[in-house]
Amino acid sequence: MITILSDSALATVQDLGRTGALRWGVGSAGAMDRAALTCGNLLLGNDEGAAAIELQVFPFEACFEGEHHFALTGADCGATLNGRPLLPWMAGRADPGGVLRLGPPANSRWRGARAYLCVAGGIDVPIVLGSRSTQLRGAFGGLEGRTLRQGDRLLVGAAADERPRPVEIGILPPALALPLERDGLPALRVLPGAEYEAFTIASREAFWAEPWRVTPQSDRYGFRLSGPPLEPIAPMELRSHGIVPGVIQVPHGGQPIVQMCDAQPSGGYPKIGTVIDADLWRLGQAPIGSRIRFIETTWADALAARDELIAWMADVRRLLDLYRARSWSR
Amino acid sequence: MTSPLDAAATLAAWLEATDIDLLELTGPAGRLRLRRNGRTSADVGESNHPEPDGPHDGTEPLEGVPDSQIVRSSLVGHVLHAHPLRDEPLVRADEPVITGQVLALIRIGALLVPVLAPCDSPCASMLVEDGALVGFGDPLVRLAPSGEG
Repeated sequence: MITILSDSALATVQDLGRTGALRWGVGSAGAMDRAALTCGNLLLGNDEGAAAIELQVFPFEACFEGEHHFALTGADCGATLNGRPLLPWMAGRADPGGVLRLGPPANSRWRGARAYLCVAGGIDVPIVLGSRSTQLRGAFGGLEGRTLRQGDRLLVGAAADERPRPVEIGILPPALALPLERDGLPALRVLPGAEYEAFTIASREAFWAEPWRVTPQSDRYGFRLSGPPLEPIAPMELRSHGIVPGVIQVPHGGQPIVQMCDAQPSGGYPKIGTVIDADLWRLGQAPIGSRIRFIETTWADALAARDELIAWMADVRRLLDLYRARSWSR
Repeated sequence: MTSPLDAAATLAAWLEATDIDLLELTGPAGRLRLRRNGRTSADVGESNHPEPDGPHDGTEPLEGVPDSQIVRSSLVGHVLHAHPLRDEPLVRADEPVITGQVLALIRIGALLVPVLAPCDSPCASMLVEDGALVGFGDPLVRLAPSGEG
């Protein structure tokens, strides 16, 4: 059991998302940085998609009521356990009564926006439509379909017995292991969208060439970016159609919106591009006020990027299994 | 599944041609250790029994320093003085360390294995450069004896 001590807003229970429910108009939800969630679970020997707590407003404070192995991934928030400093991206153990505290994300070598508190056994909330993720728009999933509040108590699932117990070990954050920058700014690979050709050549060029600022109107629903206005060759009126996280829409005014995990499942704005799935975690960690760049990519390279991420995760899992087996045998 | 022991003679012959003192292989089936000029010890299968010999066996003593003051590497990898996300070192010169504190990290691929302080100490000094490759038993950190520092 974990008790939330702070009244920090916007913390939610998330897993890898509710896939396969878009046909009913239910968005995916899920962790904004799925790489961090997966890594946290790998560190603990959990299933990769076990539910964790996503944090985006700090400070955050919680109390472990039992003995729990846990891992912190995502943004480096200078966490402490009972006042003692913890390293980021590392698994540790808390005794009953242990108080975990996270501060604002540090301006470290990689600055993220969201941290993940993973626990051995995973956060145990009911599975709805195949997922434990909080679906804020529909007010279901997670804990009572809402953000966490002070005093909330979260059950922790039983850690699988047959697996080697977690050990104190860390991993290199994927932002450092798989860096992607362009001209000194974090970059995202983008596939040109269905209405790409309907924008002026100057706008298309600016889209790739100029940096884009993450505005304060950016959250789990979508990231509103600011930069040079993107102008269509002629005004466009489209019927609403299905959209997914990663789709970059350009409403009137020409300032793009990237749909994120809590995006509504349909929309009618012209789509200039789509952030590839393998890079969505990078955007999910872009702090408000930071700048990003878009890199044009192809379908084949998007799949190669996905394969690279999957292969890196598989290598991490293999090394962790070996290391745990070695520790276990000593 | 074939036993690692089947390959031990071949591995030993290959090792003859190198300057490797100790080869340790760990897999799901168990652990194989081949040591130059020493006993060959092998654990195959589920092995929960303790180390067949002490952790410092076969390593060079550090001249003039009691072994109790030396923290050694338990694996092969690159030593990191700071967490890769951070600039400040894990241990500052002339500052005390406490039992269980992370003194350094050893990076193996994407893994970061903490090197923990075995006891409280008034200060700790790194014996290897940041990023250096270390092997099993290599001295990593010198802890000052209590009362010194």
